[in-house]
Order: sequence, then C-alpha cells, then structure tokens
Amino acid sequence: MILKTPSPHLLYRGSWQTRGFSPTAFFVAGEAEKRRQQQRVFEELERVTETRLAPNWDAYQAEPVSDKTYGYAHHFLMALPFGMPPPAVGAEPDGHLTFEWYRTPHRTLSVSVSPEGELHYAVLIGRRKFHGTEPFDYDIPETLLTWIREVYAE
Amino acid sequence: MNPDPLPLRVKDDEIVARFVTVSDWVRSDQTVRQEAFIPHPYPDTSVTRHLNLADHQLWKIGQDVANARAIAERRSVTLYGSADVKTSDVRQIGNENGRKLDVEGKPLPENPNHAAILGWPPEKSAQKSLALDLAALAKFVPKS
Repeated sequence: MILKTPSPHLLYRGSWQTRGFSPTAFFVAGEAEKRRQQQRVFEELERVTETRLAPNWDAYQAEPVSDKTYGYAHHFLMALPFGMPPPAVGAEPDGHLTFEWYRTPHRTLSVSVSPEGELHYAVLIGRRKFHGTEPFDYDIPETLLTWIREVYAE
Repeated sequence: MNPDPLPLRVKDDEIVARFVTVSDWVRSDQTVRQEAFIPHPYPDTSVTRHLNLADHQLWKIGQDVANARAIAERRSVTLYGSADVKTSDVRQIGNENGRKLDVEGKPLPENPNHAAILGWPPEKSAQKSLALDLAALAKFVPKS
C-alpha cells in the first residue's frame, strides 16, 4: 500500500495566518484585546462575588456581598468608557466590592461600591492623597475618570 | 507562647502582622492591597504583635484565625501569609485633620499578642485613604 504524503507547503500554515501589518489590522487587534480585558474583569467580578456570598469570608467577620452591591458594581463596569485600563476587582469586609487601578503602591486608586449605590474612593499619587464619595447614577463620575488617567499618567 | 503578659504599649520598633486569609489582598507583584486593613465590623483593625514569637508560633496563631473560618464554612481555608507593618510607620499615618493611627495591645485569651490598629475615622473614603497608606508601607510575608 502506498501512502501519499501531501506536499509540505500544504501542511505548513504558519506564515499564511499572520494578523497582518496594516494600521487597520493593528487597530482591530488592539480593540479585540481591549474587549478581552473587559470580559476578564466581568469574569473576575463574578468570581469575587461568588466567593464572598457567605458571612465571615475573611475570617474577621466580614459581611457578605449583596445582590444590590453586585448589581451596582456590574453597572459601574458597564459604564466605564471603552479603552479605560481594566481595574482589579476585590471586596472589603463591609461587603463593598472594590475596583482598583494600580501602577505602584504609591500610585493607586481604589473605588468601593456600596449597596446604597455610593462610590467611596481614595487615591494615592506619590505624596498627594485624596478621597471622597460620589453617588453612582449609572455614569462614571468625571472625578474618577480624571483619577484613573492620573494613576497611569507619565 | 510567653508566660508573662506583654506590655499594652506597643513600641515603635515592633512589627505587627495582619494575617492574609484572602488571596486577592495581595497583588501579583506581592504588594498588599488596602482591603486587607479596612476595619470592620469593629472600629479597629485586628493584628498580632511579632514580639517574642518564633515564626512557627506566629503562623500557628494565623492558622487558628483561618481555621475559625474553615470551621464555620466546613471547608479548608488557606492562610496565605501576613501583611507586616512597623508600628512607627502606622503611627505616622494620619488624615487631613492631623489625627494619626495608633497601635495598642489588646490581648485575647487565645492570642496574648493580639493588638489593634486604632484611630480610624468614621467616613468610609477616609478609611480607604489611610488603608492605602498602610498597604503601601506593608510587606507581604508568605507563610513558610
């Protein structure tokens, strides 16, 4: 029996499947990566919430994350302008969910989402410190957008 | 454990440990997040003084803290390590009103080295601001 071996150029496909080098190709690839990052943050929000549904999840008597808090946090993420750096997700012992934009320990913004729909934030930029509370009305307050940009500013 | 009670006054050069029982309190670069220090439900943050404790004794106390949760949840809970801060560093952290955080010995029957970081303001955002400062000065020590 004679086996026919296909010509090697028909098996090798690596060089035929490049992502392209045009500006448009780079733009499309960049946008796709941003969407993947955005999706990962939503998945992280799910994971963090699911592991904080029982009381005392931190061994220091933490409160569970409520449905309301999750709902506000989800809407907060939805409201983030596309292309903003993705935050890390966490939770605090009072049951607030947190979003953190971090560059260094001294260049960090942390936002807590409360079950009442308030956004408590604190930011550290070198020696400068600011904190405050903003209501969340399904738009990201301009103050927070400014701080996010400041954390990553050169 | 020490037979003699520790002085309640915590010296400036003492190190206090906040046991890390939640993995995402520590970032991938091994720095500590502010969530680890937010006080709740008590107005103080519970810590343990390193004073006179060998490493294995400190981890035993931390594991007991984690086990309390494990028993409640009927599953194993990991002690990831501790977020260590120097008392003098804690005492230099304050808010815009000039009020500083402090560390005070608060021994418990099961943990004579127990202490508390106190002086937290009541406003949540102000607490976060001080917790950011604390976290920036804290050093994560993985459980050995």
